[in-house]
Amino acid sequence: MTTIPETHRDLLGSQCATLATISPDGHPQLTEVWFLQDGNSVAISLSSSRQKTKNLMRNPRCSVFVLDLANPYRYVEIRGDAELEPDPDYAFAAKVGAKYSADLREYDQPGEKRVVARIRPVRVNAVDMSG
Amino acid sequence: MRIVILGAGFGGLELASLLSEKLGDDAQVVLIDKSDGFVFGFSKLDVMFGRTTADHVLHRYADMILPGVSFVRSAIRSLDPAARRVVTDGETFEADILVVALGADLDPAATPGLAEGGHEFYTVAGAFALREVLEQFAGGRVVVGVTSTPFKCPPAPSEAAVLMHDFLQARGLADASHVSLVMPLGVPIPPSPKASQAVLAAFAERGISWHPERLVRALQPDLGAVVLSDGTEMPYDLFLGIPVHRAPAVVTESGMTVDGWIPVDPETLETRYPGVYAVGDVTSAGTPKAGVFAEGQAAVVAQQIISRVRGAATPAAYDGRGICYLELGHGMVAKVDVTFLSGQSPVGGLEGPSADLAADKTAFGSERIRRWFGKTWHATLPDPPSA
Repeated sequence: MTTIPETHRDLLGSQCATLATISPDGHPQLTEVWFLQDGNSVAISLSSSRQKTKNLMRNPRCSVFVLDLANPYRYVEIRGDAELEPDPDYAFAAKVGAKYSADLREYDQPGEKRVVARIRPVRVNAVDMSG
Repeated sequence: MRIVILGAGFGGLELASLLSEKLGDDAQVVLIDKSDGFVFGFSKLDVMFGRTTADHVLHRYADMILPGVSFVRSAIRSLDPAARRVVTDGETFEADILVVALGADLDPAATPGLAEGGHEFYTVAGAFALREVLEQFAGGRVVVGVTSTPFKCPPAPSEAAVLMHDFLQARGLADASHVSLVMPLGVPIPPSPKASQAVLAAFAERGISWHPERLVRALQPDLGAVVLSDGTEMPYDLFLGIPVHRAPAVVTESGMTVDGWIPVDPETLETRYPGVYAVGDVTSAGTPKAGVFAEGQAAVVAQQIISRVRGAATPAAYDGRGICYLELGHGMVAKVDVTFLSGQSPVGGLEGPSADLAADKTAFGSERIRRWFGKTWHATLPDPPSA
């Protein structure tokens, strides 16, 4: 199993990450997301209406990038295939909401649904160029 | 624009997901089905032979997350193609574009003796119920039989015969048993001679009796006999049937059918009613009744709807192509690639069989469930090859 090295595990407690998905025309799409650390995985709550969600339904290959905002020469990139599961009662969304002191239901329009995207690393690039 | 899709099988799900992805909120899509979820045809065999559980293979429509698509769980009570009006148990829907993807209904009661003295594995309920029946079967004469034409997934009866033999063998019952297959076709997979040869080789290897070009007309449970269309009888202890197929009654009553099924333009899938399309098993499009063809036809209808909403380029014509995974026992799977074009003889190639193609088949299911339901899912992989 590919794991995230101890030297960069602290970054999984960061506020935001950049999620890269593949759009229908093949270009990467980058978005800033809230996320939770789930053991060795990263888990994200997505709204069904977002393009990144549609991208993952078509192609689960993705990458999560977390930059150390205190030392922007240090970052971790986690690549994997997003595992999707429905979150009909907002159980996972509530956990994300607890980290960010927010109610994710307030962000959703009627008819939108919540999905959990869990990314288990298949490749990790842990970089520190600060010397 | 309001698009109403009747039926959430391969065709309805593919169309709804393509429209959701490409049009989002620019179209109002209503998807109507009477079931609580979708089950792949191949999952029925997986459940029946104890390779996975019924709950694992049911994909609930309530969990669908397609933006812009409203799912309505209801039977269709009546259908007026000229007015594009659909009456359900609750609401009545009027559509700008109506797509009929209601599949084929199965009628086990149409075969005398089947309900009392046999089993069928083509309905979800029938296949799931067979799991316990097979677990308790002590061995004997097994007849797998087709009761009418046309029937869905033409290779499925052959797969069932092979998997039945292997199931009995794994339980130490093969020596006390014999599997026979009764089929209306002359060869197992007519468009692909290579695939037919592979199936016949699997039968020969297992001692499965092959009875082509005939149907099962009735069962005589008191006599323990199956009556065939050529007048002969075969003794049986366990009968696994493919029941009579017909268009759903609501479709026939709508006046859309000719000779039992809905005729469509083979390139556009339009019916003779403006703004009304039909895809999949409910049509007489000239393709086999199988999910992959419904899916390919749905993609053509989706292109036409998208071009109508967006004013884009002229959509491509239906290419009549479909692939089919074929279980050949011991974890081996072959892939058949067939093309049915109107006015031309169907052609088909064969890849495998191999264990790698078993993983391919699993990926085929996973990809669709991710696209249609936004859910990661893996069908149970068959056991690895024993040799």
